[in-house]
Amino acid sequence: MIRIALLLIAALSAGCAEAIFSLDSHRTHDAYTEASLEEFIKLRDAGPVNKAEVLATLGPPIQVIGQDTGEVFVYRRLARDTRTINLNPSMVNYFVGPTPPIPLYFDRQTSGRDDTLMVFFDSQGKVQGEGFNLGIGETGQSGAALIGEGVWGLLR
Amino acid sequence: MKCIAWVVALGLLSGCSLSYSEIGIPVPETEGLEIGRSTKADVLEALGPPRLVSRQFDGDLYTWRRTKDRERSLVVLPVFVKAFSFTDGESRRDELSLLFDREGVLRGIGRRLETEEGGG
Repeated sequence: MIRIALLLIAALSAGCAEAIFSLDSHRTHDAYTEASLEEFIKLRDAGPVNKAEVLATLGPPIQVIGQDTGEVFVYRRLARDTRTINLNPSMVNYFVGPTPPIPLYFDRQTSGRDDTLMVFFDSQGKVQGEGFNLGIGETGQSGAALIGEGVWGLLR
Repeated sequence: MKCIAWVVALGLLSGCSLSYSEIGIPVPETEGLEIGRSTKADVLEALGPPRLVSRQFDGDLYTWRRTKDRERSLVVLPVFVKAFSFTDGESRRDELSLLFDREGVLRGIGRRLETEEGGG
């Protein structure tokens, strides 16, 4: 019975990070730059904008959504950072012999943020409106985001 | 002493890994294509088949795309206890989108090159 319980615990704990401290960080493509966004806003302010002008200014969208009244071009970039602290007796198996991987302390923070721009067109291909948010730069949200941005800054 | 230094160095380096993946061929050039004149047939003949076709109210959008992913990780193993693990990944794309009207005439070009090599 105890063996089964230990096996069960081991199986349940198998997904835990193996290192005491681990950091996983991932970024996707740029999608749009601040310069191209600024250019797009200028164009939009100057008058009606069509689909061809949006393509020339912002480049290809990552996704096109069809709606009853026209399409939506989606531009998006993603940042995901995970910070894990895992204290586990099985980490010292080398010194003390086999021990079950029961976490003594496990703390994981994940931060997923995105910069998204959506451009809405009418059925004639003219821009009806747009909406955007810039979330990647907001690193104050969690420790994971702060560490991730710091590391990416160093790598660059 | 030298021996210990080698063991420590090997221990520190043994956890490095790199992986790369590349999906799609280089994005083609659009030389010779003319907005308002070139047709779908001209484009297909010049650039080959697109990776994506999306239907629009006012025509179609053809997209050529190449994706490059990179992931690297480092696990520091001081004296057989994994103290620190770091993984970072990045996904980048080269893309070309061509917009056609309902008559199949080229109306717009969008291009973004993010990989080091850019389009082919």
